[in-house]
Amino acid sequence: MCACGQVVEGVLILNMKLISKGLCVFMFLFGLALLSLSACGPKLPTLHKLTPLPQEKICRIAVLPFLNQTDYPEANAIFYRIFLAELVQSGRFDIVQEGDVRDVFHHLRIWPGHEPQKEQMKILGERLGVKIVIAGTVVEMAEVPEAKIINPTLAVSLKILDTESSQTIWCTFHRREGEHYRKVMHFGVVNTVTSLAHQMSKEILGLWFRKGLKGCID
Amino acid sequence: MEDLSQGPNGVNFALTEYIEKAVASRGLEVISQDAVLSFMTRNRIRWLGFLDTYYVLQARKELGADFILLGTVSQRQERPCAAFGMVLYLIRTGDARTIWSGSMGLSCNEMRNPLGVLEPHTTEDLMPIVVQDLLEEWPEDIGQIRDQKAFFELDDVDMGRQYIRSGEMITCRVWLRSVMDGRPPKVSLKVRGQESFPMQRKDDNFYQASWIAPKEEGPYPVGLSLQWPSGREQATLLGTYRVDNHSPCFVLDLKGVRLNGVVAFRDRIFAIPRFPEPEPISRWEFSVKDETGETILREDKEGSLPSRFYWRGQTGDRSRVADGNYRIDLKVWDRAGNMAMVSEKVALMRNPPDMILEARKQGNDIVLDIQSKGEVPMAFWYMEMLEDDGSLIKTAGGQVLPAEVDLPIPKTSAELLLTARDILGNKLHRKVKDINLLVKHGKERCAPADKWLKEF
Repeated sequence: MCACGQVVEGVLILNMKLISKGLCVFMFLFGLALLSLSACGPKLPTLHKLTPLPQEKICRIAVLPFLNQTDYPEANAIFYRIFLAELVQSGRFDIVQEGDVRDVFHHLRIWPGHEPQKEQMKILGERLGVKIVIAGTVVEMAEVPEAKIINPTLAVSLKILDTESSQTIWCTFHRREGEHYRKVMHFGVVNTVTSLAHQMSKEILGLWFRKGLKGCID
Repeated sequence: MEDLSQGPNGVNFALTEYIEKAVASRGLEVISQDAVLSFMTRNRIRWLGFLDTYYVLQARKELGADFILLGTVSQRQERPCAAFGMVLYLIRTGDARTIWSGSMGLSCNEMRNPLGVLEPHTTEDLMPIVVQDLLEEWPEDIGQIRDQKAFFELDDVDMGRQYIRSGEMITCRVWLRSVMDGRPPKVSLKVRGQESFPMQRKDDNFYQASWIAPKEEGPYPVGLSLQWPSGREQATLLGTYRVDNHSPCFVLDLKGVRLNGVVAFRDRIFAIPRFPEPEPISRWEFSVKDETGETILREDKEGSLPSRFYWRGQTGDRSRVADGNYRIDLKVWDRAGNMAMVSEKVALMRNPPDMILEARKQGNDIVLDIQSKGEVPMAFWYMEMLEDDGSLIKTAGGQVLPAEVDLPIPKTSAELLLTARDILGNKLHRKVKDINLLVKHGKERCAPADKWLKEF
């Protein structure tokens, strides 16, 4: 399933031979084994490419208000702001101001919790000067108390849409828990939904960039 | 600074003040909180955490701000372990672009020190750490202020009705807002990229145009065009209206038993509207009329059509109506206001089956004739002949009437029990205390209501 199992096994066999050579060497290798094991934890987001990206360079991009399918208050706004911050940090796109997107939603009478229809998407694209938009839904956001710590959980579904045709170009699903990032002892564990959203946004955008989403700003 | 931990309209003044000081300590001149609040009030900005381009440029014009720092507290909780998270955006007002952003979350679990010395325990302890960590990534070179580009913004658009019939008046209203100084532009609408309608300036920034919807059906995209005296032009798509002159096409599918060309029912009748070519409905009216044409029930509503209707044989005030023929009418209007109506005749039949029993002697037997006089076919009938002591002499049954049943002549008296149900569900139970009396009288009609028991 995963190459990490073999690595761990190999390291453990190696450890047996090295015990006699000293405790320090053993501890080092044991730590290495745990680090290798932890690398199995976080997995990449899933990505489905439904249609090709536009041929021309994408300079400007708009992120539509996300939908909230959770009981967590303001889950969509929280993830929206963090995802947008990560997109700005990537430095590859001219990002449409959230207020401009909301203005067009208001003009087109698209109520909160609704997505633009085909024709509205075309108008939205023209008004904001964008060829593609990102839409998303927060499917799960929770903070599960475990003893004295909290294990945050987040699942999101994001889509890249063509404003001209309203077609979904790419769609991505990503679910992580704070515990998935544990390395050694409590190191690496993500304790807050903010950090988890930040981490997951990085992973989603990293995957998109690796798979060919390119901006025009260097 | 917006504080989502307090809900969608949450505000965090303590954090705002802290960030003000932190930014000022980096050698930047910070506009006072009073001036910012005054700007927000003057421009009716009722939200935090985001701005549109117009207000970004307006802040540059009114406040002289080169940059705007927006922030959102994404989480702030004390238990079981304090946690604090926030996002910051830095917007350059010269070109209304977000040039830097950062987000960070911190829990006291991540701040464990040896022997617990100086460990943060509350969000107030965590907040300065998060802010300082975020501001450490503040860009070194936040860029030169670029030239402010010519700019206009749509404040609001009212396209009126999006679906309209030929010959009806279309009115489009546009509210513009502009940060440009100088003469106002000439504003016009272009329909299908060809026809141009000049917009009249009704107020400072309010423009209006009206025209008659054309004969040809179909979509008509409407674009807004602005022309300045300098010759510069700007255009944007406002929306699309559709001319539709066709009434919706639909049938009313009645769920009941068809008798003599009319759908009959006993308890309730379902009416399901079916559209061969489905289209959204904006309004409907369901009504029932009696044989004189008087409306006994009416219901209408704006909005989409229910998937089915049912009528329980009652008037609008819920009183039961008599058996007879009625007419169900359903009117629907599409989004353009085209109306279509379907009318269906129904028959309400609640009376139990009307049956005639005839008995005659034939040799050593009694022959019992059972006949139905009603129009509604029988679903089944069942008969029992019992002796005085309750013991069973004979049973018979079937689905078809008339029927003849041979019965033995009883030594003393014998009871006859008859049960029947028609295909609408109307039932009857008949009890003849002594079959010899039936033979004597020869014929009995099962009509009087007080002798019959209806079951519901």
